[in-house]
Amino acid sequence: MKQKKNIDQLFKERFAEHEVTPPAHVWENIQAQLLEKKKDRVIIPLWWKVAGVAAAFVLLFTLGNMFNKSNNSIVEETPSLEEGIERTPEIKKDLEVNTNENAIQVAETNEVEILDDEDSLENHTLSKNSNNTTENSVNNSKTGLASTVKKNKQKNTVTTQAIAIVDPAIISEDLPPSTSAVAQNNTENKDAFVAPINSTETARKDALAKNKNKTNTEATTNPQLKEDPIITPRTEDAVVIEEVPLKETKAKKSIFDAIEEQKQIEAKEALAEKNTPQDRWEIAPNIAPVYYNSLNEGSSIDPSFSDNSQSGDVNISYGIGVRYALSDRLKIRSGISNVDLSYSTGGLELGDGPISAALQGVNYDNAESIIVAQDQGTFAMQADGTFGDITPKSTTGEAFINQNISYYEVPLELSYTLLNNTFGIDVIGGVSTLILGDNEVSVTAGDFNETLGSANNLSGVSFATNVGLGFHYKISRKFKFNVEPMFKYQLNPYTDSSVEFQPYYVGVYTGLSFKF
Amino acid sequence: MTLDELIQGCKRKDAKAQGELYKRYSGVLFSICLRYSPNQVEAEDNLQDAFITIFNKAEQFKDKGSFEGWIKRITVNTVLQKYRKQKVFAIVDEAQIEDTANEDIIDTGLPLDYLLRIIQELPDRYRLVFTMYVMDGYSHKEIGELIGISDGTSKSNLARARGILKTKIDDYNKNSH
Repeated sequence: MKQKKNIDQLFKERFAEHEVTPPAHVWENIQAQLLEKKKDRVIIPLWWKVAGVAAAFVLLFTLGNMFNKSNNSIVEETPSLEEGIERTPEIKKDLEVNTNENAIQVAETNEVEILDDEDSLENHTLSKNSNNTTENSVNNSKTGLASTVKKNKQKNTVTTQAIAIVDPAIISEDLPPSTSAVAQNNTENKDAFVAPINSTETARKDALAKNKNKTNTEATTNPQLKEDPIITPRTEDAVVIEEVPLKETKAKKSIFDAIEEQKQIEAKEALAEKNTPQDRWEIAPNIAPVYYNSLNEGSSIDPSFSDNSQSGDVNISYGIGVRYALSDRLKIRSGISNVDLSYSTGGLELGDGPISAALQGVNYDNAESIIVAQDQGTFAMQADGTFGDITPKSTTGEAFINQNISYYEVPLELSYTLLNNTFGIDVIGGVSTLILGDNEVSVTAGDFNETLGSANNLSGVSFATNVGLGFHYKISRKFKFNVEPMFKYQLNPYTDSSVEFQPYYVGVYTGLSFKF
Repeated sequence: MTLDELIQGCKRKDAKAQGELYKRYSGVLFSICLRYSPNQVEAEDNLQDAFITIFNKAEQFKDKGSFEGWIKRITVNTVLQKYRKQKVFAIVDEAQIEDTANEDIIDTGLPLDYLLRIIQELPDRYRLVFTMYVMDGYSHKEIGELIGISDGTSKSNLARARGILKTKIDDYNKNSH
């Protein structure tokens, strides 16, 4: 069938209903790419979660520390007590450890558990027990029945064990006689225990206050304590206090030994005080030269530049850091800083041309006619003018595209102190949130310098993982000089996941820090 | 699934709707890619890029105009972006090509794949201008704006594209007799 048609008509008609089923692998590739995108998106919530967990952890820790303050003295002083005993084994003395809030959970049925410590001879058991007690008291201080363990060490044998058990149900009915007080006396010393029950509300309160004072200040630190108050608090409705005055029969300790011992204990206390982080907050202004580069080849400006010569530049980051000591080794760090980063791509030639010849990753300020940057040698191949009305620029020297980015960086990091003398070392790790500030792409060649516009593929908010070391030198108790080399790898700097540029920056953060 | 459900599903990035969209429109869009690309392999790549863009931008579709028109425009733009920026172009000795008006030719029942092949063999810009103007109804002004050339350049590119195609069709007719 021969037909006369004009060319346009022929093609228009023949392709009017044209449909071609693409090969199956196209859809497979699309699906794979969609999945990849989803994975990329998952990164952000994951980091938010991690940051959230870290923040919650810090909050708990801080609160825990506040509540724990009253108990701190017991925990910290126990080792000194222990050592005091070791150093004076010849002294025949009574050691009484009173755990004022040793909480043991009570079942609804008023079942009472007795903490019976047979191994009071063992020093380590003492300290362990005391630690346990403190822990328990934090957890169960309100609901637990406190029982008291008294350990009497004399001639390396257990001479006295006193366990006072109070049935709260009975107490609430004000029936002192039914209170069971168990006093075991295994020696000929015949230590006497009296366990009077103060059943009136006011008396309880008074006694409780008194006991608390005693136990905190004396009971656990002073091994020569002769009088030992035992407190047995119970659930909110019934707080029962027993006072068990212990009449000690043998306290034959020379006054010199006692003085000596007291001195040792005081020294230990002073030391413990010194080691406790008193000034938990630290403020640290810092400045750093930062070097920006990519882990692999690729260009964020245009894919055609991935094989060009590229180099990172050194810029400045400055800011202020805040640190909070969670313990004497562990610190949490945050702050805010400004980071300038820049990067240049070489091996280019420049020309004036239409927006169609635009670089993929750049939003041009001028939409009419733009400066076109292309791989060196491209213009020569286009001399026939098949595409684009590009007029090459005559510039001297090699042409570069420079990308300048500034971020506001908010880090959340933990540091762990490895060495803490006059000279100290920390290891630091964490995450930074980067908020995009300035963003500029410009070209330079010899004297020629012009701003093209801004990169269109940078994420407004992105994240980086940080690792580094901190070296510090103590100038005084309050001031430190810090040098912290850090490596920061950007996780999602580009909105376009096809960009193969994987930027990182390295900075040596230097500054003075002040504790308060 | 109605078209509306399909569109809403794609806006939610629902995988089932995306699959359905591909099933319905990949034939039409692949035809566009074939006409705008220099060969089958690149046409497949372009189709893939076009669908990714469609899926990512689906939420930007305003439910006013034709959805098919919208996805076709995205496909054309995706391809244009690639070839208008192509830095190395097939070098054509332009002097040898005559500007050809929309002349009559003899259609001897030319096979479609032959017509497709000669379109694909055109230099990038000629191919784009010819396809856009003749088959997709863009004006010279629109073409000029989209690929960054003047109306005049677009007109002369079209005339030269016709010249090349006519020569090839004439050759085919001669050889087949």
